[in-house]
Amino acid sequence: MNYCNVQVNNPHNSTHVPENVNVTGGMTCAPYPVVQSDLSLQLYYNGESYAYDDSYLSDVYVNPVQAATPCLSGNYYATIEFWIYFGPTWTPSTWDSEVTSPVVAITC
Amino acid sequence: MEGDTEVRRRIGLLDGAPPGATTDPDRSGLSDLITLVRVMGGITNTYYVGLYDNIPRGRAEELDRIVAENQLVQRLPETSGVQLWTGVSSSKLAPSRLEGSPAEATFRSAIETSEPAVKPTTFGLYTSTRVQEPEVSAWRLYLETYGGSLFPKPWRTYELTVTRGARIYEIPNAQAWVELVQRYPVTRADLVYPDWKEISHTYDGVRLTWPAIIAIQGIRLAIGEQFIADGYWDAETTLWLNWPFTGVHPIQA
Repeated sequence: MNYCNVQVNNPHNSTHVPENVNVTGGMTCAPYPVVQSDLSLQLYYNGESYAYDDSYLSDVYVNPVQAATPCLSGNYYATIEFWIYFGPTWTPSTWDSEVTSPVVAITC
Repeated sequence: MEGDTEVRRRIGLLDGAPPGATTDPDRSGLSDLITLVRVMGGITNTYYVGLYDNIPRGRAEELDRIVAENQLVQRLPETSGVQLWTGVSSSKLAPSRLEGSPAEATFRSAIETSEPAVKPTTFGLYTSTRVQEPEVSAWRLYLETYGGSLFPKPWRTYELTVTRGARIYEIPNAQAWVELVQRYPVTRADLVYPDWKEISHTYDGVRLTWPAIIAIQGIRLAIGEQFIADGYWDAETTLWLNWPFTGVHPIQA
């Protein structure tokens, strides 16, 4: 049984640190932690890879990822590739996939 | 208006969140706040792409009525009132960021404001109310959830002692936000913004509570025939327009 959710939010203008494009996302699992989780976040600008973050955590409920970069006007999207190991007693014991945000137009 | 639909959507996310939002057993009492931070922090100026054609619009009275039904908001504990400020390390993404403790000498008041902004970044100071000893505030939980490269560690939290006579405009709901902007408006490109410079003559700080943030974040509220620009507060916040503090004390976590 898969009890986790992996979400990538839409890239956006940072309102806390202006003049940057920010993207957040991550894994949330409940009501149990997972044994291992590996997430890779890519932020794309006009189709080209522009910023990156990854996070490998063990025995956690959540595994957040975030990437930011100086803002250039254009089209952005983000992907998270992930691999989760629930533990040997779970069937299936792992889950790997990719989630992708819609393409959003950002003006700086 | 689509604002009603959107606020109902986020209420559903808040009330439908599974238990166990915390990773730390010592923070089990913070589960609701962590859920709030996670949901509201995801509502950005592009989150509506794929959901709505434009930034949702709404009327404050109706949005407040919807938020009042939110079970999670009703469960939130009374706040301590103690104001915390968390400093982060320097980053090439924020070259003008000052490090160290907040200080009156480096504080920039709203008098120096220029471009209209719902949530200004060129003046003032943002604090968030302590929700758990010693250093946990909604903003601190936001940093833990969404901080990353924009807010590099190490983080250092300070307790700010507010002078007894400080003038604070409390915003418990969307209607109070509209009333503030209606009293102190500045219009730019067909959108209405709060005139922070004028507000600072009457108030030292403006506090955005959780119910207000749920109702107004990412929504353009009707104000007469016009609309207030959408803002993104993310966490319970007080914006200080003047320096009403008598003490700044680092917290040893």
